[in-house]
Amino acid sequence: MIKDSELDALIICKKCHKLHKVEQLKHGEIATCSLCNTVLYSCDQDIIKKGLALSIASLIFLFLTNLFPLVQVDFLGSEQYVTITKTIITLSHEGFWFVALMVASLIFVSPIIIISLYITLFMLIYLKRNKDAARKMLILLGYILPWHMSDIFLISILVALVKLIGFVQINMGVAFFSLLVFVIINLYITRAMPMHTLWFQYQKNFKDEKDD
Amino acid sequence: MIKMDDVSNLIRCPLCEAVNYDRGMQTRCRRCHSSLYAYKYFKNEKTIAFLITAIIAYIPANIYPMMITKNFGHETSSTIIGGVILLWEHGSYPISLIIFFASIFVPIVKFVILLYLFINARYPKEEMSNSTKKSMFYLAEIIGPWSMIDVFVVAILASLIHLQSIQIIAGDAATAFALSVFFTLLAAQSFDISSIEKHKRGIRDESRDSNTK
Repeated sequence: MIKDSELDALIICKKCHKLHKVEQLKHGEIATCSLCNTVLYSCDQDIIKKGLALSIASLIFLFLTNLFPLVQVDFLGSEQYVTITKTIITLSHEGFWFVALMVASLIFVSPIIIISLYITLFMLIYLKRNKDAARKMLILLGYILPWHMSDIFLISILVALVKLIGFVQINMGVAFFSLLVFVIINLYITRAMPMHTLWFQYQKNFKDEKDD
Repeated sequence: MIKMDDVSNLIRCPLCEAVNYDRGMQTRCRRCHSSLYAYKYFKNEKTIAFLITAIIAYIPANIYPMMITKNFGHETSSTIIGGVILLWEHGSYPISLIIFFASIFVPIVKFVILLYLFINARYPKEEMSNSTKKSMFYLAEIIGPWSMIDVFVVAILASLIHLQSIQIIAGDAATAFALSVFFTLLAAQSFDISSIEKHKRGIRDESRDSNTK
């Protein structure tokens, strides 16, 4: 039987599932898979501080995104604007409650949950407090992370607007740009801090405490 | 030290990405305690159930209109393929290609990959190497969510273009398509990646299961 400590020194590539041994990296170095060159892990000593700062920043942009209009159109003198909440409400008013529910959970609920989880998690790990809550949050994060589609929503806005070019006059709203920033920050967080890096930091910071 | 014999029994927890020793059907992840083999007698049956539901939902998604445009009382409705062709004829090739890629290419590729992997796990044939199959699964997982583009576009247009003279209303296909995407996402998540290569040893031997503590 293999001990847990030995298993912790191993990593499996997410793409081709090749087994690798984790080497101690210097600050700023990146380890890639020997078979498919996918990034396996990287070494960044300030990752928790960076993650905390970035997730607080993205929370601010998330607020802006949800409060202000994304796009405003002007057609023969009549004006219309769209916000994320208005999209969901319109859909449910027209009877598409399943689509409304799905859009709401993918672009409204899950970003809020994910960002608040990131902030509390990084804080708990940074302060080395409440190991059990941190573990539960990491598990919850793992379940919610695949159901986050802000980036896809951003592309959809662009596609919708290109469809409208020529019909109406389009004015970009504040929320569109804040969504753009939010997606970029979020992309960086998920790239630089994938689940196994978070778990590794969790184990490293809480290793003094005994299990259970 | 780790022996080479043990290495082939190592699996990756899909939730927290920890490396685990495969203790057969009762394996729980040592780190996040999620069960790695939840379905002892229903291996990947959940996947195929979700996949069939998604394929069934994909049929009305292509038959019914996705988007209805009311222009000065004149109503035109377009299906997914109709919308792609219309955009191509209007000359907006990139958008037409994006919609084609997101709503037709991605779902079908995902259906084919998951079906192939499911059948291959059941009736093994050594056509492709295991790492290729795993890369295929990874591809299906990555491109899957992008088929939501069309639903989002319709949602945005329906709430944005709500003027007196011109209105865009979502069609019945939106619900069907959203259902289809939802179930393909579930199908991909419930698929047990280790079943790609585990068939070599046949059905996971019960003797090893009972030996676990």
